[in-house]
Amino acid sequence: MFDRIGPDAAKDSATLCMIADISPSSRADLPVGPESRNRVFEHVQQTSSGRVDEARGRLRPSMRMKHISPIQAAGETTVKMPTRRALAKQQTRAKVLAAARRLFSEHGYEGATIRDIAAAAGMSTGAVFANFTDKSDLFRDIMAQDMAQLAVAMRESAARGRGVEDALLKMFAAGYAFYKSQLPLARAAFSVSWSTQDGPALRGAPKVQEILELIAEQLALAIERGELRQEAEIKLRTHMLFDAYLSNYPQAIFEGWSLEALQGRARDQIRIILAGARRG
Amino acid sequence: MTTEFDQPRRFAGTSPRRPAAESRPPSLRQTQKEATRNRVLEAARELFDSQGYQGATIREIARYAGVAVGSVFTNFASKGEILSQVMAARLDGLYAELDRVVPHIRGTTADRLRSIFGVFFAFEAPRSKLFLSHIAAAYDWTLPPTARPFGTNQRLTDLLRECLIRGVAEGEVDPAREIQEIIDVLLAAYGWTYRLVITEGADAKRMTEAMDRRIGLIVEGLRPR
Repeated sequence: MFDRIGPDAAKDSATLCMIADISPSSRADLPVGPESRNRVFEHVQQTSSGRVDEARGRLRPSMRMKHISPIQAAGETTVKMPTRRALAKQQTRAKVLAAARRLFSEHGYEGATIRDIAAAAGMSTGAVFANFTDKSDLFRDIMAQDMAQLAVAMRESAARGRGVEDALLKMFAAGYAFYKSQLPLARAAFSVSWSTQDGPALRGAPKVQEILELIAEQLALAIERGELRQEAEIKLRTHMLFDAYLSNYPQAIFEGWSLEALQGRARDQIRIILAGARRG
Repeated sequence: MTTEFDQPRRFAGTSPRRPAAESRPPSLRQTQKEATRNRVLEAARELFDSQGYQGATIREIARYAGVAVGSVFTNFASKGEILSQVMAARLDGLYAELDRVVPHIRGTTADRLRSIFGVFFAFEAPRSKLFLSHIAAAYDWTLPPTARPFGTNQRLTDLLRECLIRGVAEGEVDPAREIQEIIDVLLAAYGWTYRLVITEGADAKRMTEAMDRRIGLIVEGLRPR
């Protein structure tokens, strides 16, 4: 039932924010008795760390409203609040994900074991396995969270672009900016994506497909506007653009390239790949 | 477990020969060391090609080579180093093939580029999983900082540059284009064509076809205006 909120929560911490951020007035709307309601709320406050309160303090009022709304909506319908057990399970997942994210960043995909992740999360390996089938499942979950955020950022950036080249460049720049702050995790993701075992699932992830579609969309719009020729081979060009985008990550990971350098190179690549499809 | 320890013990059986080696210490020791290295490299090549980079463990490589895990580590610092040496050892074969083929490459700029990449795919594709291991290893934490495996083949870069410069001379490539930028795009297309092995189990033919189309599209955009 908590899945109702899940898709809106890009990060586990955001989920906790939502739970912890129930204002007294909205709590009054919830269809649970005052006692159990308080129990739930206390439980959240006990188990959620200072991180949540800190994040909560930073939220603007408008954002708070946004976070409350799914729960309010739930309160107005016949759907019940999550049980204490469901809530605890959700928190366990969030804790495991946070610990896993840190360990994957510090030790790479191979270097981080389920045992270490469980220890870092302060629980048994059994508890981890109760929530995730294996390490690759855990990693995919983390990537899915990030890629959902990334897809949103890319879509917004593309919309601000003037012309197809600029739109694509803004999209890619959004990607580089997003991962620049977490290159070790990006490195782990590349490592997994090239493995014959876990690679296909990561590459076939819906959010990766969404990014590809977003590139294709930009090309289709450019054809509509008359920037590119009708027979621009959208599918092939989309893949080449995506490959070029990805191919720059090793520069950032290994050579420490700046965002500007990455963008400069991406711009050249976009130009070359689009050149043959330009009109005139 | 027992079988794993059986192997090293059998190998340890060669140690009684060591005192004899002391009369002419460097050569025999050297030969033994060399033999161990080669056995490890051969075993590793097979295992990386069948298990992938993550799947192949040092322990298994040692077992497959019939040497102790310890003696793998006296020769190599890490799994990543073993793989980079396996790949380095293969380069001789690749370069010999290039030396044989390149002088005979003819045609337009696109044709010539296709022939060059064709040699690379034909060489690596029969052991595509080994090459995927090579790419995956680029992101390995344990890799020594000096190792920059994937996408840094200087010979390939040089061949592409030569080919493009000739394209400029022959009026097929716009001289205003930055050659290095074109090389970057070509290399990105090349490296990521191996993705097809993962997503659809592509062979050399399929990868060459995919790359040919990409080359066509890139070169189309290089024409002088």
